[in-house]
Amino acid sequence: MQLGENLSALDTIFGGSADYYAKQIRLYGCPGAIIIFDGMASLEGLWRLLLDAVNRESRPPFESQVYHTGAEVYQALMHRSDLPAQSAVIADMDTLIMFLTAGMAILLLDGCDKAIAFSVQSMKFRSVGEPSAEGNLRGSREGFTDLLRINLSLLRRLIRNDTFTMEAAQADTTMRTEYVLCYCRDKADPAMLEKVRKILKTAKPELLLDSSYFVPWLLPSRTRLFTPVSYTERPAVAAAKICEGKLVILVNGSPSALVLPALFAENFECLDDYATTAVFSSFLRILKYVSFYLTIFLPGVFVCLAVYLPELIPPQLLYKITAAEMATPLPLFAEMIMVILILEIIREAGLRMPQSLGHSVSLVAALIIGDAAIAAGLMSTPVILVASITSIAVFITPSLYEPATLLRLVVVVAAGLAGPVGLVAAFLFFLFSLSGVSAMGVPYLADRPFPQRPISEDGMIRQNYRTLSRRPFNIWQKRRR
Amino acid sequence: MIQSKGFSVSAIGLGLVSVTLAQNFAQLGGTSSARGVILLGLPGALALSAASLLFCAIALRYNLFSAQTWTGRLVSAAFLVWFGVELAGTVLQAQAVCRQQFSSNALIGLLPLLVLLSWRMENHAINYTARILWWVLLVGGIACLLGLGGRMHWQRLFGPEPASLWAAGLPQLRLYPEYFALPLLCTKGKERSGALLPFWCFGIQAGYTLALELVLGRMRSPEYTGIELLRAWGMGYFSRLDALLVLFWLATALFRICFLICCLRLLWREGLGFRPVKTEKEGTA
Repeated sequence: MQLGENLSALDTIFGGSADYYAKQIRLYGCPGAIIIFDGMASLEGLWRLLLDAVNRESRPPFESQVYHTGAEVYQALMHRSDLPAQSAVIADMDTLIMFLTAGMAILLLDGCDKAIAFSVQSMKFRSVGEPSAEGNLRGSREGFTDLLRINLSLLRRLIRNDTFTMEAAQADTTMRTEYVLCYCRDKADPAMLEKVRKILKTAKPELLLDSSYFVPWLLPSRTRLFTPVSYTERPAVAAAKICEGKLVILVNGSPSALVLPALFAENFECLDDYATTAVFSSFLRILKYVSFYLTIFLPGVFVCLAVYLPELIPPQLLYKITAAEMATPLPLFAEMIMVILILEIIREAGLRMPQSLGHSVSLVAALIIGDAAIAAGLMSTPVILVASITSIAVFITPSLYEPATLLRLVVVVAAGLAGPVGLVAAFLFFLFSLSGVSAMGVPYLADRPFPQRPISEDGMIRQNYRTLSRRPFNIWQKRRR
Repeated sequence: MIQSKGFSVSAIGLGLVSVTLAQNFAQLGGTSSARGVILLGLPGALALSAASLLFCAIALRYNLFSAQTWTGRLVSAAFLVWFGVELAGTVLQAQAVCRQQFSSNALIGLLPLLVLLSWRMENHAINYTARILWWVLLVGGIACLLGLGGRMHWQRLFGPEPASLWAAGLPQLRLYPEYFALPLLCTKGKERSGALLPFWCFGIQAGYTLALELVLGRMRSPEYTGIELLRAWGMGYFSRLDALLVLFWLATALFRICFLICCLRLLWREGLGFRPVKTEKEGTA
């Protein structure tokens, strides 16, 4: 293949791009060209690499100083020189583009049907910092960045055994985004691994900007409230999950790692749990569970009791609620729905606004809703209090925010329209939606057979870490249905 | 990884406990004594358990719940009707309690949703839900016993008794389709534990009657029903805490409705062979 043909083909593809750079050179008398994307690969790095190779060269690859063909130069550089070229064979345009867009420098030689890639990436990326969404007191402060290779190195640094594997591939998308499937060979279930590998290979998302884009292919079942996968931006958490036999999917350009499969109980666990005493972490976990159930059921229970079963409210409290309700124009049920929706609007506005404005918006909204609405007699204090408690409680388990918000509305509507029967039906619906979920044969609810083992070693309460370590947990361990 | 399919014994048992509790709520005063229930109920449970075990062995031997044979289809059809009748009975029972306790007919409106939800539900969802509801029931039971603690007096058990145990009539021995459909419903290998389900019902009935008699003595008037036991419970601050316990029970009653619908679906598909055409889902993990 002539160099000119290759260059013109590449020029047709990338010629219009401002960052495309092609430099013609001559190597051992053979014409060649170096191709890079400016900003992704560094020319300086390439020359440093070449000079270093020349310095270390024990003997030249060719004895005589004559002109050589491209094929001869390729053989010499790949097999008889100290040049640290990539070992992969680049024999077609697709592979060449894959390496080029990964930030490597490509060497094309005249008369040779193969190219050589040099790893001289110099991409700018966000530094490894602490993830803002997953706060911790103890343990690692590192978080994943947007660059896949950096994330892989963060994981490799933590898991230093020979079974840890990272399989990279390109997704069948418009942007040909790279993703990596990480697992421990001795811990992951081979059949499930193969299944996931196949699904990822055949998945055709239009775009792949985050690992969560794969979920509809991995779990294509009907509508569900709870998704049995979890996400983390902490390499330490991802490493711990991999050591439990789980599969982690990382996508280039996103710091969020998808962990598959996940258990419901894991939403109430964090790294700090294992750094503190068993008693204190158990206390915190119980608090988290209580908060989660509060956030779903408190508004519904409040509406149901105040409207349909006032006998269940202590008289003094009931008088206060009734007095507050008498002063407002809307029925309690409608008022509760309105407050919940307004709080959601405030939250969404605070989240999407520029950070400098977000706080002001929240403050103004809180003042107007909280103070002015009560002063104007539009809303009652007990309703705002209940809605505020539930809104704050949901942030204790941020990973369950979506199902908790939807379920809260379902419970309020059911309790408001159908009273105690509606409340119980909503509770049952919640249980069914929770217990009907499973991923890859692993149920979302961990095994809690009644009454033999009511509380597991590391569930709502946990045992001493030394005791836990005696029997390492593996997600694929056998369970009963 | 999940190993087996089918319903767990605790899931089947929860439904039976729920319906037994409902019977106790509705039981009229003066119909039976704690002594009678315990002494006559135990042999009854034993007989039912033996019958259940025997039928289970026959059903497994002759493949009685299989859609392959005409006997299998016949038996399945008979059980389908029995489960249907049981479902209707449970719905009426729950509706009666809702009407009586909460003056609500909402159950009728929610029933189509429950049917739709249960028909699409997988067996393991029922099993996991049952485990959680057992905890709810346990908490309710403990709370009830704590609230009644100071009101129970053993002397009330020794009130004036009828001369003969038979005088007050035999305790009701109810037959449920679950007792005999164990080979179809139970997780494989759990049929023997399933055959003990009559003892679960007996335990609940005996325990409830005993607690009722310890708190209120022998209720002579037929105007009083078993639900008086819940009404006797209180903690001082609330005027009607029994509604809370009825809510707990209602959760198990709705669970039984869903469970029975799942049984009907199972009989329809496995016993009568009306399986839906499977559509291959691409790449399901």
